[in-house]
Amino acid sequence: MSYMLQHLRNGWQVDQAILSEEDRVVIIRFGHDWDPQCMVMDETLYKVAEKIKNFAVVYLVDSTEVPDFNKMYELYDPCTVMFFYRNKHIMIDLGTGNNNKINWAMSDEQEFIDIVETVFRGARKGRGLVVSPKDYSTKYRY
Amino acid sequence: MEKSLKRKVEFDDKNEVIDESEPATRRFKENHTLDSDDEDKDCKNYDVLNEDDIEGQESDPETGFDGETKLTPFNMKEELEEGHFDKQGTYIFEKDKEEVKDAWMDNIDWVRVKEREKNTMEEEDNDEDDSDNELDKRKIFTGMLKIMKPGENVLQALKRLGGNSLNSASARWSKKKPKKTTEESTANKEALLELTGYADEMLTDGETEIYQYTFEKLTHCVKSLEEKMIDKPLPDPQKPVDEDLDIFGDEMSNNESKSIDTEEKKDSDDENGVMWEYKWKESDTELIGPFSSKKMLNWCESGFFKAGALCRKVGSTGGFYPTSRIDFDIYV
Repeated sequence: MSYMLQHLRNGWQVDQAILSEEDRVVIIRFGHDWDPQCMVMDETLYKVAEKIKNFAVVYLVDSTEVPDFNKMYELYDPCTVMFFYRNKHIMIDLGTGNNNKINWAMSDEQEFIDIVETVFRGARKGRGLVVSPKDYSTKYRY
Repeated sequence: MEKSLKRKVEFDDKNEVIDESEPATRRFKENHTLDSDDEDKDCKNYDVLNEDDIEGQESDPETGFDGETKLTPFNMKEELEEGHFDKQGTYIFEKDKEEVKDAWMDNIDWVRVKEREKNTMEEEDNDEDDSDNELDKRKIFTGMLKIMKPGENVLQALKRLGGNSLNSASARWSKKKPKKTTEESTANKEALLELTGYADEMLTDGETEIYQYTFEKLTHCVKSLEEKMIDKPLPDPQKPVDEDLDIFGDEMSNNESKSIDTEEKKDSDDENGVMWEYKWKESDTELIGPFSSKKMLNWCESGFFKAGALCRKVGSTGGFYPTSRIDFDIYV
């Protein structure tokens, strides 16, 4: 489903995408379109993109094509999803110990929408860290 | 440069009369141009009075004493840091000089400050009529709560009490049980009068909506007035009902469901934000709610959900989330 979502091809585009969005959450998936984990994630992203379009926008970034952020954001997992709001990285307490990103593939649409909504509402209230409704500490490894 | 030198000399001699006329004509001419704003800037550079020309400047400011009073001598150097004199001797503040800013101001999270401001404004609004008789109000509210039943607003309570006495009156005629009914109706009447009195007091206090206040709202008012945490919040069915009312319990039950309906409707009207429903255990099938985010937040803070509850947004088909992980504050 990755071809249905917009790709950002270079660092400048990524920066612009994050910078230019005034009142929506920017969701960026770093990874590779061919990666099986990313495929699952992209499927979810594609399905929710329409539902969350009022408060969030989804972009895909190939972490090989655009290696600019790999070091800065420590993108070592096959699939990473990060959230930004008004040029600010929004952290999420997922219960996993890594509050910076979702580094696994989510297949539950509603759960993902709930996370995005929490990020949006929290960020709008000036929070830099929000708590995801669900605790993923034990469940996410399969 | 030559011109300014000449004028300086004139200024120093006391030929001020001659001196005045010259710059006056010059300015008059230049003021006619459209971009006179720019001129100000240009003029500034050579209208500035040379520092050497300023008379009476103290080179070494020393503090003196006039009897007991400490005197701070005029310090021209200090004055010149904030502005300058033009040729006429007018002191001009340099506005465009950047103001001194405190470093701590950079760290302020203005989003929060604004929120706080809004809150305190609201509080102040409330305070206006609260401040004097806060204790009184609390007494009134608790008094009202004693008479009212959960899920009922003041108007409905009045209706119930008034209606009952009517019912019992007709019952008295038909059933001819004079003694019991009189007891009932007097108790009712007393409660009615008491409630009316309370409501009236509140009304004169400026609380125009008092008749629409629900049991829950009053409980909340009492709570916020006390600013203490109440162990068991509002809609607990086990809430002890006043003894007076127990007598009429049967007659009220049909009213109650209706009034709870209206209460809920009002709630959702009040705050068109996200509504929540909750249950205590995963296995529970019965959902409690819907409630506004604000209410949920209050309950969370008061420790109502300490035992752990599961909740979800009304209308959501997804799973339930533990209330401990939901930050209701961001939904308010």
